[in-house]
Amino acid sequence: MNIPKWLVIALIVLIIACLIITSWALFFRTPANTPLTPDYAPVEKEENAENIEGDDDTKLEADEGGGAVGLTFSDKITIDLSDKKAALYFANPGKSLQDMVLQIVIQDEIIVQTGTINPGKQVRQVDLLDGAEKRLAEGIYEGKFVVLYYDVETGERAMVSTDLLVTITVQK
Amino acid sequence: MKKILTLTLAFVFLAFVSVSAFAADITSNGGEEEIDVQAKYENNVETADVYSVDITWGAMEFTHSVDGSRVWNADEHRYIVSETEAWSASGNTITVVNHSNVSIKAQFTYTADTAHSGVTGTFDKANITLPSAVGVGTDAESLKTVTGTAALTLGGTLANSTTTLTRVGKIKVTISKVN
Repeated sequence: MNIPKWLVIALIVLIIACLIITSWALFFRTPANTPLTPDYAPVEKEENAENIEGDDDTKLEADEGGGAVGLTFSDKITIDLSDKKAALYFANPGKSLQDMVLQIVIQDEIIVQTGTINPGKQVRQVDLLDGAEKRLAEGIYEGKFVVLYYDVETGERAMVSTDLLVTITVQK
Repeated sequence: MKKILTLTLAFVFLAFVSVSAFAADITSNGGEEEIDVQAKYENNVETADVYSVDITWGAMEFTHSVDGSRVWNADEHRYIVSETEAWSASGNTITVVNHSNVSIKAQFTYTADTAHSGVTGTFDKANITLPSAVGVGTDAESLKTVTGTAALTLGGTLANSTTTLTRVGKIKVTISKVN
């Protein structure tokens, strides 16, 4: 059976084009979607979390079925694009009854999502999400911390969350 | 030699002139003269804003009850319905305590889940402003001055198939600095 030469060439070109597109999609394409907010606390604890020195862990009181948290934070954040990290201060003091997950959101886009921050822990530095540095330019942004609360036993997300308005300075 | 002498005399003269400018004019033995001493305060200590907030919420359990009666009308082959709907709440308050060194505003919003978009929620206070905790004691009575509470009320309708406690919406508390 004689296959026309032009058809062989066309098939080879088509196969090469498919390989290029597949390689780009797998290795070079920036993910279009930001992460979804978990309904249950991440299994991983936040790796940058550290103990709060001298923290008084006398617990807050809450009615059965309710919750109580303490939040301590600074409203100034600095993002360094070169090392893909955000310098900040956020603490979940020992008096809290809930675990927390912290997100940094700029213009409805999540650029940071931590692992679980247990009561008695604080963070001073967190990693940007993969590819977030490509969507940021040098300058000052009005953004927010989104703080999600999770039951320490079941990991289930509370119906209450908190937004904390912050100023974010992005530098190279 | 003449130049050196002239220069020396000029310095001596200038020294006397400057001394006389600050000299007190005391003319008698044992006389007094008051001299003003001036000072000013300059605060170069940087004070960072430190936010520290406690948020406490209740169980947020609501019941949508329908009371009344349905009487079967055999002539018209239909029920004569006499019903009243009402929402009742258990633990529907959120309390915010400001331990910050700045005044804050706490804003409350309720968002219905997509599956229960017929349920509406309103707070008796959409937002509250709390003064800074600077100079406020830490005893329960003092903390009342930096504490605020808002209560959520649900309205609208809930599907009659929702007979167990089910999440119908979410609450967001937004904290911002009051300038």
